[in-house]
Order: sequence, then structure tokens, then C-alpha cells
Amino acid sequence: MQIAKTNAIKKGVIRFCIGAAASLGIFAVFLLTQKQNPISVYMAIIHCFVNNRYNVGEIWVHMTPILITGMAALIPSKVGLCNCGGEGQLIAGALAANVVGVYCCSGMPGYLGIPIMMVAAVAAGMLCGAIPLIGKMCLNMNETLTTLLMNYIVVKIVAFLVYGPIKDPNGNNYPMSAKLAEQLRITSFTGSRGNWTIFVAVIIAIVVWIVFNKTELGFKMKVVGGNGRAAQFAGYKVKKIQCISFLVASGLAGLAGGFFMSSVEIQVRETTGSGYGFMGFLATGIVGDNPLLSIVSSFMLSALKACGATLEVNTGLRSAASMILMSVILLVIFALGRRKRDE
Amino acid sequence: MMSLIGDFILNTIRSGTPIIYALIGDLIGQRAGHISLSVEGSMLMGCCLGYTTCYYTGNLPLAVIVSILGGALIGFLQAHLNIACGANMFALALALNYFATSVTTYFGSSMISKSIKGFSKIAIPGLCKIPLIGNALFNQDILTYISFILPVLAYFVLYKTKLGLAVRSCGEVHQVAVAYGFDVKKLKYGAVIVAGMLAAVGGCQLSCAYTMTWTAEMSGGRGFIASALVILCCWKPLRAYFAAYLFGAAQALGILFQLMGLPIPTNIVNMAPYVITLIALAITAINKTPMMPEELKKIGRPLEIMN
Amino acid sequence: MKKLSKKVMSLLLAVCVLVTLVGCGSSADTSTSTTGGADSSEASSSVHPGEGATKMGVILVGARDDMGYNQALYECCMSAEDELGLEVLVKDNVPEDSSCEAVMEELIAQGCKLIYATSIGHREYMEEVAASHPDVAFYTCNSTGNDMDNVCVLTTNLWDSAYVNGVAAGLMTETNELGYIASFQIPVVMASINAFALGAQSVNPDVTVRAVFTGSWSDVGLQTNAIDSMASQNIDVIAQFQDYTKSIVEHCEELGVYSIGYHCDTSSLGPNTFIIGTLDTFVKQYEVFQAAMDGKFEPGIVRGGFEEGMCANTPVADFCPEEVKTAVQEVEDKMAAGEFTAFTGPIYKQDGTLVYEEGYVATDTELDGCDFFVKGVIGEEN
Repeated sequence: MQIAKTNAIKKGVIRFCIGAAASLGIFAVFLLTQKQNPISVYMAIIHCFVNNRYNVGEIWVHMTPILITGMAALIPSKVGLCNCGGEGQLIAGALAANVVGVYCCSGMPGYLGIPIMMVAAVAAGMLCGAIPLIGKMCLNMNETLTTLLMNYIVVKIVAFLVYGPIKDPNGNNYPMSAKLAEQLRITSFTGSRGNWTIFVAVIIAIVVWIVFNKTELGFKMKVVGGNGRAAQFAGYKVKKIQCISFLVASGLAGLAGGFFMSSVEIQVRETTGSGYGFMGFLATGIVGDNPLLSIVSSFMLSALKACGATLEVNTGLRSAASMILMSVILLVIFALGRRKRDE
Repeated sequence: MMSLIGDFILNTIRSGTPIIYALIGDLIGQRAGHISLSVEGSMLMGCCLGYTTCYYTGNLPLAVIVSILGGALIGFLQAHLNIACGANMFALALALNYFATSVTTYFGSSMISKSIKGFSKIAIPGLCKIPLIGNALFNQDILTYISFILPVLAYFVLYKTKLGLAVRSCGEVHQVAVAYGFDVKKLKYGAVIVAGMLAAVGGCQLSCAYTMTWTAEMSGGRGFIASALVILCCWKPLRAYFAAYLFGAAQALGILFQLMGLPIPTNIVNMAPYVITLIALAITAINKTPMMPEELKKIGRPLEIMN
Repeated sequence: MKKLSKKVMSLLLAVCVLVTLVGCGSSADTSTSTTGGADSSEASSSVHPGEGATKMGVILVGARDDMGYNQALYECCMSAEDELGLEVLVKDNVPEDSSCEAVMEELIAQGCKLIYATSIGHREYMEEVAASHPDVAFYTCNSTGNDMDNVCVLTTNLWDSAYVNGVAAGLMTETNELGYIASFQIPVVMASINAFALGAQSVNPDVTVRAVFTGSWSDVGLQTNAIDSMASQNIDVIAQFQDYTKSIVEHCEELGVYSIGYHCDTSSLGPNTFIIGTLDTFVKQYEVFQAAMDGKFEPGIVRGGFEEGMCANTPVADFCPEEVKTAVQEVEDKMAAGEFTAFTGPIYKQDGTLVYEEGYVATDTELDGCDFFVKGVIGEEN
């Protein structure tokens, strides 16, 4: 048992090294074709975080929504459902937090207003998730596709709202909502935009891991996810467990949106929050739905996002260069995946 | 008023054409049991490669071939990394889309300011004079004409040929394909690569025929939309006309309403196809008609308890 | 097993509480430091934003070679390298959301003491960044109001140029139907559409202007659809307020519809149909940047139109008749001499109500908040 474990860890480390070398190598080739020195570019990326509080803060800014939406994708997959709607649920949460904050809580002090906004965000995320869930439970509609469709619908609803009902009266008639009042904003650490929500995100991931690995509830959930009939025979309430898990997951995604709105965005625009849900899905996808490893992968993805500006400003390369780096790394990680067992 | 309607029909057809390509492509892939959300990336590759080839060589068939190759690459990666390397289908598609977006934005930037001759319209004499629909249906470029018959072709191949039967059985019951002597894995690869290729042709049409221009992220989510619309088609090729042009109509309606001075918000109009798709899904589920390929129902479920 | 999990849970709970306290603690730090900052900014009113700058950072919302707004700005800033001896760092495709803050911070970290946020949508986030860097000079464009000490808003009265375009369009149209493709119903766009209509009506009282809003500064597909629809509506002159202008001019040339350009001189793309266009000029930019580098940064709003040379028009195309050229020249001369502005009353709203009476000249502030269309314009107001 021990030998198998150390072997597995060794294999994992070797694969990681190969992966890192391969992706950095591919990107280095790309850099060479663009007449850049790969070594100096990589040094610049590392340097961008050393002694630079702001950029380190940016990692936390991105990591919070990515990690939490990662959990929102992971929890349902453990119980046999697929939640691709983290994107829409996050956006819905951000929208709800802003609307409640602007229209209900502007007079309240922060310690009252912020929790109320977060509750609204969670509720919005749950509502977003409830629709596909009802479809699945009552009509056996495939939730993968319905959650995907909900993403688009939520984005269009936000667009409709910022062009009309919630448009900021002081905003030059530009399509954006009003700003949150000062006391309703989550304050950042000095010198950056990072804030305490990153701790919440990490704790959520740890709690998820503990629940799945150390508690009876987690065991039940995994059985439900693995084999629904066996779970039923064992007396587990399959539908109830699935429903609650799905709602908790979509609520979490909504919460991520609420955090994001209150700490960073402050107002709703057409493109608010876009991309985070998908990145969260990716973050858990590349580590095989492991909550603890998701912390690492979210950190990596966030760091890549955060150093993008440096990479481009430094080298004068066009804005897509950092995206090329990120997608190469992602594809290499996928390519190193384990082969599926033969059916 | 008449010209407004004729115009609306024209815009519907124009907006719907790239979507039909990607839709039929992903439909074939989904019938084989594999959802290719990466048709968005394939379409983008097709846009960029087609435009670039057209600019440098002026050779239109070559432009189409090069775009097909680009789309095939994305399709191959989608199939291989999922089937052989066990990557999660959707996460992989997202990564491939990022890849396509970044590569085309980067290398295509020099193309933004260039102009090309592109596909010219071929008017079918006589028919193109029919009021209201003549201009829309009979005065288009060759790629659009092909898109008109694409769903029929797909129907024919899927339902009337052995190969089509094998592809469909990939998505339902593997044994049938095996019985006919086909390799299930190869069929899946093939279906997904074809999906990428068709989506790329749709992209080529977008940049070399519809708009005669190239800008970054030009496909604007049309590939994703096409993937979602496969559901609206109930996985039947002939319904692609309805789904794709419904979407084209939503886009065209926005402009129409503005020109008519109607105060209906464009965002509500743009939401319509998705809502209709949801409702259609619900209706098919209520009817309990077995529409969705069996393989697709298994997606998202882990095979065993993970640790 | 259960005991262990209980211990783990209680340990975690303790960690949570501790961490939240720490988090609140650092937010307390932040609040004290901001009040501290406020004090220091009062004391250091002698800080001159941008003084001695050797580097300038520019963020563009679109691509640097979009043959439109972003390209014009990019070229302006790159020639600032020669004119003013600055090193210019450019980042394009910066979206109009909170991620642009990180880009600006990065530019500042790289040593830029002048930051030019070139799109209206960047303004909100630019102000957040400006608040924490009082020694950096920030510039933005075409938006209202400013009360920050290190921000200068460079506002072009684009409506002057739009009026001139309108005059040319009004004389060239044969169907009396004009079209206007725009992005959002923001005041500067509304005012430009109005000025275009007023200019056309001044030489041809029967014209109507149909305005279509695509919701984007550069969506080619929607632009193409709009042009096609307009062309079939017998609209024979199409004007625009977009960042990406090439496709509009080209498509109009294809359809044989007259076009009016924006930002760049794209007359070569429409040899038979490009009538005239708005040109971005950047005289003021260089002045202001130089002043900041010399320590003479002036916050507030720098604005102007024709008179101040902040906007201009391309020459009228050769294929246009002489009377068009003379009419346009007359108006341009009057505006340059300060004798005439586009919004001189009487001006009526879409529904006929009088909004500016005879002889009244609308102030810049009023136009900055323009939220209506004048009579003769057909379009959604919000």
C-alpha cells in the first residue's frame, strides 16, 4: 500500500515536471519566433510577483472566484450531476449582490449590509441552479446542457438590466449599474486588491475535501454519484442528496459572484464576471475533481492570469500572448492525463 | 414595409449560415456520443485561416481547404485528448477555445487592416427576382448555397448509409457498429474531426463571404450557440434549418426593431433562442421521446468512486 | 474516526475565526492608511502629477491596428515618443471592466508617470487607480465631470465635426434619408447624431436620420446587417460613431451607398462613395503631456472643438460637386473662428417640444448630458 502510494506520488511529480517543461518549452519556441528571449520573459514573469504586492494581490483576486466556482462544479460531479452553469450562477450572484446593495442596503452599515448582499447572491445562484435542477428531477432533462443554456440566458438578462432598469443615473448613460456604497465594499489589503475572501475560498475547498473524505455524508454522496441504484438499495435518499448538493453548489457559485462584486467590480456591466465560471470548471477538470489539488490549480491559473499584463507590457507582445501561454499549459496538462479504462 | 421584411429575411439567412455549418458539425459529433463545444474554436480558426489564405493567395478553394485543416486540428485535439487521455469533455473544449482565440488573435492581428476580394455572390437568374425571398435565397455566395443543402446531406448520410448507421450507433449501442465491422474509436475520432471541419467552413464563410473582414474573436460565440442549438434540433439534421434560422432571425430582429422604431429591447430578442431551446428540451422530456443519444446521457457521471 | 473529524472540524473553525479577525485587522489597517493618505495628500499639494515623466502608459480598448479610434490613438502616442522624448508602453484589447485596473497598475509599476486610458469605459477604474497614485498623471476622454487632482479629461466636442458631416450629407443625399450607426446611447454619441441631423437639416430641411445602436464599438457582423437594412430602406448616406470603421466604408462602397468616416481617413477604401469623415487630431494631447512632464499638470477638463483644433474633418471627396465643398468650407471657417456652434436654437426634440429657444447656444455641460434626439432623428433614446 505504501509502495503503491509513493509510486503514485513519484509518477505524479514526474508527470508534473514533464508537463511544466513541455509547456514552457512550447511557449519558448513561440517567443523565439516573435524575437523575444524566453529566459528574460520568464524572469520578467517571476519578477512580476517578487516584491510586487499589487500583482500578488491580483492572484488572490482571481483565485477566489475560480476556486469557489471550481467547488461549484466539483460537488455535483461527485453526486453524479454535471454543473456547467457556474458561469451564469456567479454572474447572477454578482448581479443580486449589486442590486440588493444599491437598492436596499445603501443606508446600512457594512457589517449588516455585506452579509445581506451575500445572502442575496447565494439565493440568486441557487435560483439559477434550481431551474436546471427541476428540469433534471422532474423531467429528466440533461443538466449539462440546461446549465450551459442558463449561462447564456443569465448574461442576456444582465445585459437587458444594465441597459435599462438598473442603469446608473449618474453614469453618463453608459450601460452599467450604480456603484455600491463605500461601506458595502469589501476592503482590500493595503497596496493591492486582494482581500479576505481568498481565505474563505480556501477554507471552502478544505471543508469540501473533509466532507468527501472524512465524513459519512461525503461517503453517501460518493455512493450516490457512483451508482445510484446501489445507493437506493442502501437506503440513501438519492434525489434529496443530489438536490441539496446541486443547490449548495450553485449557491456557492453565487457567493463567489457576490464576493467578486463587492470586492472588485463594484458595479455591474455587460461583461461582469465572465470567464470565471468556466475557469473554475477547468481548474477542477484538470486535477480530476480533487478539492485540495484544485487549490493548486486555481492558484496556477490565477497566477497566469495575473502575470498576463506584465508579460505583454514588458515584451510589447500583443494582448493574446499570455492567453497562448495559458492555453498551452492547459492542453499539455490534458495531454498528460491518465488514459480512460476500457469499457 | 415589404423591403424591411425582405431585408429581415436576408439578414436571417446571413446570420444563420455560419451557425448551420457548426450546428450540423456538432450534431454529427453528438450523434456519435461526443459534445464538441470546441466548434467555437474551430470556427474561429476557419475565420482566420480562410481570411489569411485568401489575402495571400487570392485562391478561394485553397482558403476553404486551409480553414478545414485548422478546424480539423482542433477537432482532432478534442477527440484525442478526451478519448485517449481522459480529459473532461467540456473543460477540454474550453481550453481549446482559449487556444484558438489566443492563437488567432495573436497571429491574425496583421490581417485586421487588410482587405480581400472574398466570395462573390452568384445570383440565380430569374429566381433572384422573387419578391421578399429572392434576394435572400437566390443571390448568395457558394458557401451559403452549400449550407442550404447541408442538413439534407447530413440526413442522407446519417440515415441512409451504413457509415451513418455506424456513427449513430456509436452514440447509442456500440455493438451495432462493431457488428458492421467498424471501429468505434475511429468513428468517434472521425465524427469529432468532421465537426471541427464543418465549423471551420462556417468560419470561412463568416470572414470571406459574409463580412469580408477579420477582427479578433470574430465568431462571437456562434460556435457555442450552435452546440446548444443541436438540442433544439432534437439531434435531427433536418431541424437544423429551424434552429439556425431562428437564431439568425433573433439577430436580424434586433436591427429590424430599431429601424422600425419599436421599443423592444434587443437583449430580450437575443435571449429568445436560448429560452426556446430550454422549452423544447422540456417538451421532448415530457413526451419521453427517446431523442438524446444514449452516450450523451452518460456524460458527466464518473465511472467509479473517486478518491 | 468521528472523534478525529470532530477535532479537525473544531480546529478548522478556530482557524476560520482567527483568519477572519486577521482579515478584518488588515482592513482596519487599510482604513487607517487611507485616512493617513488623505492627510498626506493635503500636505503634499505640491505633488505635481507626471512631473519628469520618462514613460507613458496607454491602454486601448480595441486593437492597435483597427483602422479606427484605437489605431489613431496608437499612432498619436507613438509619435509622442519622438515629439516629446517619452517611452510609450501600449497595451491593447484592454476590456472595459475591472481587469483594466491591473493593467494600469502594471504600467505604473513599470515606471510610467503618465497614463492615458483611452476609452470611456475605462474611466471608473482609472479613478480607482488614480486615487492611490497621486504622483501619476491620468488622462481620459470624453466623459463628464472631474474632481480629482491628478486626472485630466480630454473632451472633444465631436458634435462640431458631426455637424460638418451633416452638411455634406444633406447636400449629397438624393433620397433625403440618412443613416447613423452607433454603439451606445451615451451623451457624446447622442449629441453627435443630433449635430449630424442639424447640419443636414440646415441645408436640406426634409432629411431624416435613422439611428441604429449595435451595442458595440466594433461588431462587424452587426454593422454589416445594419448597413444592409439601411440600404434597403432607401438610405443613401451612412454615417457612424464606431471604433472600427473600415468594414463600414468598404461595405458601403460595395453597395454604392455614400459613407461618412470616423477617426481615420479611409477615403481610399471608398473611392466612389466616401464623402467626408471626422478626423481625430491630437494637438492638445501633446501640449498637455508636455505640460505635465514640466511639472505644470492641470487637472480638470480640457475641451474644445473646431475652434481649438481638437477635431477636424477630412477634405470633401473629389467626386462631390463644388457647392458641397464650398458649403462645408464655409461652416468649417465659421466654426474655427468661433462664430457658430452646432447647437444654436431653435432646436426641437423628436416629439416636437422646443428644448433650446431661438438664438440660445447650448452649453457644453448641457450637451455632456444629452439624452434626447432632435426632430428628424428616428431612433431609440435609451
